[in-house]
Amino acid sequence: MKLFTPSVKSHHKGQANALDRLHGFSITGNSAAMRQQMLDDVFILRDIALLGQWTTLYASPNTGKTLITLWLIAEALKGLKVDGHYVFYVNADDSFKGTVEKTELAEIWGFHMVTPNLNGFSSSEVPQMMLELAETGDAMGVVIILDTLKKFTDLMHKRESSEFGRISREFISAGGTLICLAHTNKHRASDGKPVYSGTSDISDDCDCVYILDKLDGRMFEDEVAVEFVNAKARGDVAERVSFSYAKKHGQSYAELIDSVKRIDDGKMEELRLSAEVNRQLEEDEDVIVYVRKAINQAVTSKTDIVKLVADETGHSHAKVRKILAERTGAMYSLGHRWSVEIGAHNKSTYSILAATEPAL
Amino acid sequence: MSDNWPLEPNLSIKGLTYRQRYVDYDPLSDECIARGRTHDCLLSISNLIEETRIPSKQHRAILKKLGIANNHASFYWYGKIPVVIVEPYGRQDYEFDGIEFFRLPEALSSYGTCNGHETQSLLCVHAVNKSVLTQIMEKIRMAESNLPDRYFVSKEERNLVEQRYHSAKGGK
Repeated sequence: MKLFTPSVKSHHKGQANALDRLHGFSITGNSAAMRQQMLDDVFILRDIALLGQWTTLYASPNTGKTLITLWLIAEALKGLKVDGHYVFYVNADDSFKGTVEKTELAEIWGFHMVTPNLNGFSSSEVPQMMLELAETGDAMGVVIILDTLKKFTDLMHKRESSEFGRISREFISAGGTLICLAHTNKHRASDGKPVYSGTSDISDDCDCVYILDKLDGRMFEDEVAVEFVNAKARGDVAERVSFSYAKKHGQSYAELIDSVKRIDDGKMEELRLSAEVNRQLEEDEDVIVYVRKAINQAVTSKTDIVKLVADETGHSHAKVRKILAERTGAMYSLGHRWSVEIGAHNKSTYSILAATEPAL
Repeated sequence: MSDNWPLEPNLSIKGLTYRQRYVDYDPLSDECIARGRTHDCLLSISNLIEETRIPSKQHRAILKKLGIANNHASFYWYGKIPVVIVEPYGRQDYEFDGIEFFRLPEALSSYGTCNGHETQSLLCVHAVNKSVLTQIMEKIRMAESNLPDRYFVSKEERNLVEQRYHSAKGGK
């Protein structure tokens, strides 16, 4: 397909005044030609990344972003949704063994693996190549996946990130698709959610952003659940998508990738809830320890427990009372850690709840 | 047989179909009847969709690697994967850089022998998409035993083509 070329005459500086030049740049009247070139809403990563967009996936190391991205690419290729001849996975964050394993998968599924220092490739060439693809009209239909983004631009450097954003936008405007994998900060936000690393330029400039996070929930021992949460969208992408994979000692990369599965919404809701409960249990840990200690020492009335625990932990009475109430109930899996009986004169008597269900 | 045969103007908006190029010039001849039937069989067995833009960017990328084998080229999609079929004269072996191909069996070689000149039909994809060839080959293998004789045209078939031809021309 030929790159769209405006049918109006080009107006160059010095040949016309500013108003004429603005008229010359107008694309009004070219929509029919542009629509012909427009890419259908096709997912390269199902529910997550659309063809013709720039999508960035942020996650902390060892979350499984490369694994799940490759699995999603394979899904698109096996479904014949994308021509692998135009898909380039730039693997700049791997060992030689990892590169070999992933290249073997690329050969089976049918896409191109590109790695620095092999076949004369260098990561620094990528922005220039994207620019050339845009300028020559060859960007249309090309999918580039950069793993990881920090190998291609300095994410901490505003000017560099901004320049990378400009080049990427030219590539996208010419019909290319860009998927970047990037890291989140070591430290999370106050609400416990991961925060992307670097300046805001990349997330400001790209079309779609997902933040990936591992969910500690009710999975099998060797299973890991990862949730993709959308932070920015330009198109009909999913708000949340979740996957699981099984990590076993001694397994090959092909076996690991074979274990990737989508998690349905019901299961995900359960996992999300249990992850939240786990997070709160962790936050309340010292109070929980001292309340259990108090109950074990036969201090079972509400007033006595609150007083004792507040003295031991240094927390306010109000905070201890709140945690005492939140952890009261009969459902261990929902974070309840003790139960209460109301006796004569409205007297509360607490007793420790046995862990009858698997701990969250 | 395609329901669009012999003349469906909508199919030639961007270019000519295989039928329009290689069958409709002499639609009542045995050679062209057999060719049209073979091409229809190939499409229905392989699930290839014909591309009539001549050629699209993706197909052009394959075609330019086929060198001297580029003869009677036709263009298809298998899902989103571009597929090119070339049908050069002769039975020589080819090798193309960055391209994987397989030679279609005689029963599905659309162009076939023309005025005594033998051709071969090569189904080509980018090397990275070679798994597609395996899928198509498997479909052909499953159907091969039920295919009609490539060069046999029955009287009934001739009559049917004749009727369709005259009704398309507006006759009885």
